[in-house]
Amino acid sequence: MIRRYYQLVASLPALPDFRQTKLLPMSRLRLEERMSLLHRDDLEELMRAERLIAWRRQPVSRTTEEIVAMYDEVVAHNRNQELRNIVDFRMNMRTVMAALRMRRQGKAAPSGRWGTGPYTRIIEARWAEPEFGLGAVFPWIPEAQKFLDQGDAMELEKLMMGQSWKKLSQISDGHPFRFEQVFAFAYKWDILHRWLSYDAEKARERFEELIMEVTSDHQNLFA
Amino acid sequence: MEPLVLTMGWLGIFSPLALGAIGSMIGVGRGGLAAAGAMLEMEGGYGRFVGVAAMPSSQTIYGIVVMLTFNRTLTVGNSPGLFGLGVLTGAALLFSAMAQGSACAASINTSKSKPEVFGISIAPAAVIEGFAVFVFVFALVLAGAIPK
Repeated sequence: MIRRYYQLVASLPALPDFRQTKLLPMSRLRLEERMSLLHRDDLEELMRAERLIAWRRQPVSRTTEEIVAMYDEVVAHNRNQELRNIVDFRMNMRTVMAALRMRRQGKAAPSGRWGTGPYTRIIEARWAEPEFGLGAVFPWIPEAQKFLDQGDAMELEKLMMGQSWKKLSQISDGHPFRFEQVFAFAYKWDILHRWLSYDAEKARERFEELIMEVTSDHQNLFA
Repeated sequence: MEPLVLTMGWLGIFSPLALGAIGSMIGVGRGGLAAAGAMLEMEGGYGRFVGVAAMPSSQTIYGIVVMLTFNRTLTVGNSPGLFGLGVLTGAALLFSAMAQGSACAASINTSKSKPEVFGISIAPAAVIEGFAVFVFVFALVLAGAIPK
């Protein structure tokens, strides 16, 4: 049965593009209050996927096995195809980014379980190609490679967020007043929240965090 | 056989009202929920949201008029015609009210964030109303051809 959330969707503010605003239109407390209007099953599904989709730092100690186990759990309990699509989208993006970082560090093609999704084997087989032969699927790879080479972590983050934002907007537009529109809002709010937290005072701290991520986190995640 | 045919006649007479009313309930419910949600975000201007939410009520009114027009002494001769006309009219009113409710909810959701598009955002709901009016008018026209 398809659940529709007329009241919940109408109670959410319009989200401006994260690159063009300085204000968060809704507090986390208010967002959580509104999300409590979701059916219990949908709320659980949202929370489960959120651990993989949310735009926050992954603990450095988290291993590839743990990430894969979280992914498997989400997939096993998943009932919504669009939620599955966005989870796969984010995981594929992280897999490609991990591959780009490894290659930039001069490593050889990985093997075994170093990422998730159907593209890991293609990346391994076409390691020497600039876009791993995936240019048509991930047209942002050359730009991401450029920012990686320049060491421009902020632009790289913006690019990745922009790709997710676009995907979530497409999902939202295609499913008015349904769960898909609600989770797309929640995840877009998360991107906006994260982006607005990158202010001048925190820039230095954030830069160090990104350096840590580039040098340690993803090596551990998809080592 | 005759009781079955007469039962079909009764179904035909009452379907426009019953199905139209069911559609109105669902449609107004959709619009009403959206209006209630928008009220959480807005500081004022609630009245127009409630007004838009009530738009799918008209299908019930069309159903009442069609039912009264169809109402006559049932015979084996006129019951099949009443059944066909009534059930299809009712179905059209049901679906138009449901679709209109969704269009009203979308209008409320949009104009909540962008009040200047309020007028144009209810245009799709008005177009759906137009289709319901077509069904209503031509059901009345065709009812004249069914024997009294």
